[in-house]
Amino acid sequence: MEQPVQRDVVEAARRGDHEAFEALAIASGDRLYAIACLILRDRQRAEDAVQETLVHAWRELPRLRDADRFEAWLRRLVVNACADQGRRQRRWAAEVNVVHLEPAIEDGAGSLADRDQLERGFRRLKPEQRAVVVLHYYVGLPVPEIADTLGVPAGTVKSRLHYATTALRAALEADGRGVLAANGRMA
Amino acid sequence: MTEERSVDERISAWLLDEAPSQLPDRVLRQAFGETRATRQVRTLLPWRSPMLRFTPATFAAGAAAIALLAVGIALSTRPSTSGPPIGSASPAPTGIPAASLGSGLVPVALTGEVAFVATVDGNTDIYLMNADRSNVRRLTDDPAEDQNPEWLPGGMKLMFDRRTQLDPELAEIYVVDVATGIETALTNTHERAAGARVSPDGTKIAYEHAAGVFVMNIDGSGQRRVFTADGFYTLLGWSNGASVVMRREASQELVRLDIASGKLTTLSEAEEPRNGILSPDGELRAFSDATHRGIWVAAADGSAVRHVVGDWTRAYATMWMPDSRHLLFAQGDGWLYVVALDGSGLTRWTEALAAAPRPSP
Repeated sequence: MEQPVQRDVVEAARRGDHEAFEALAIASGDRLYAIACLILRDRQRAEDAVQETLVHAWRELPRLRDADRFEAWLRRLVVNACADQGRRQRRWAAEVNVVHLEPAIEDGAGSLADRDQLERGFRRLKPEQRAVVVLHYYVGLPVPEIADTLGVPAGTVKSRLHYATTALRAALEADGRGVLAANGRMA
Repeated sequence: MTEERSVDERISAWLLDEAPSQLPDRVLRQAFGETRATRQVRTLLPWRSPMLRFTPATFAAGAAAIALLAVGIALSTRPSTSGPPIGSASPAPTGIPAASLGSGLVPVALTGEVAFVATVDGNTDIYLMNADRSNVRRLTDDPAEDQNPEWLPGGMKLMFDRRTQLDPELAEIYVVDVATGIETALTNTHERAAGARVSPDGTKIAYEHAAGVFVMNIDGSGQRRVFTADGFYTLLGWSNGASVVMRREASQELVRLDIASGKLTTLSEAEEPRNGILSPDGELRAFSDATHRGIWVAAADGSAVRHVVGDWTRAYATMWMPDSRHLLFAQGDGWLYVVALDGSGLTRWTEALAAAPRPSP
């Protein structure tokens, strides 16, 4: 899924070559956006998270000590940006107590019931659990790489993944009746 | 086992189906607009404050100039703290000082010298120029990467990192006498010694080392390890004379390290802001982010957040003045501004975009 970035391009960006940085950002933007969308379940917030990630990356690039770790480092930044967005959303949700959901789009890939149950189960996960699920099941990273990306022990990743998968399995096995709503639902 | 695979497959299929295919172009455009602005500032100024050399006399003169200009501004146009359309202000002459622009924004003549990093023909060195952008000159000339200049007390010497190898990283901390160009190595670790910061009283230097954090006297003597790192930490600055503030890169947490005991205290694990630049006295942190438009200041631990000036989508609190009471920052219009911490005296300093130095090799 991922194309490895060229080390010399990362090195050039580290030294302040903005064109090199733009090339890296363009190459990574879609992937970062997908990760952010999946974690946050909100495209506007995901756009904000990616923008924050890219600006932060540019500022901090001189401190990246290993160019080969660029992609993992970028993933960590976007997960952190999603966590920041998530904190803001929680504060907002605590005040309003309603989270708007975008209506599901039926495109024939997977059953509507599956999608809805997974959606419901996923939204109940904590942000750090969502991040592990996305990195494992979408990005395709093994546990050690997720641990490296997030900067947490592998055991913590396993634990989060186990809990999240169990929760999603339970959501899939749950009776879907009463789940669907026309336009949205309570958080 | 079959059911487990099925669940895994269903989760993967759902995520693949849900993932958007393309980042909207506007996000990249907005991000590049911001990073291009900081590129110029980063080219003009080094990555860490303090970057201007201010002797007490020259800073007093500069502060007086700022005060006089602030009075002039107050008498002509009251500066707004709620988002003046600075980006649309009429272009100013690049010469400094200059007459009032009639918009309440006045180029201010700062005295002293600016140290900055530039890469010329692939060689990264430390350069100097006067604060009015004149007299650009190369200070160091070494095949290695010279970075992170920081003025030592008195403004006669600059401390910097010299990186001789990137992978694995090898770097040492040097001091150069600005008048003579004579360089002195403060460290001889044969590993990575970098990111040095001078204590508020000017007697100690803390620096990042491959093995942790070290502290030494200002002349390089008395080196001792005060912290053994369990991962990557970035030294942000001294919190006071007895501790330093660092960012734990794995978690992006801010932590305070007590130099005497080596004890770490987490400052703001779940609080905002987590970015920003520490003031020279280590008491305050200036920052700007998506939810804090304009320039904001907080205590070093992230508490007591307050707005300073502006309502711009993004501003860059690039450096503190040595008095810890004025900030020099850039925003998207490509100009650098000076403002007092109470929001008064918002003053245009120089045009960052036009001032990107082009020194001869």
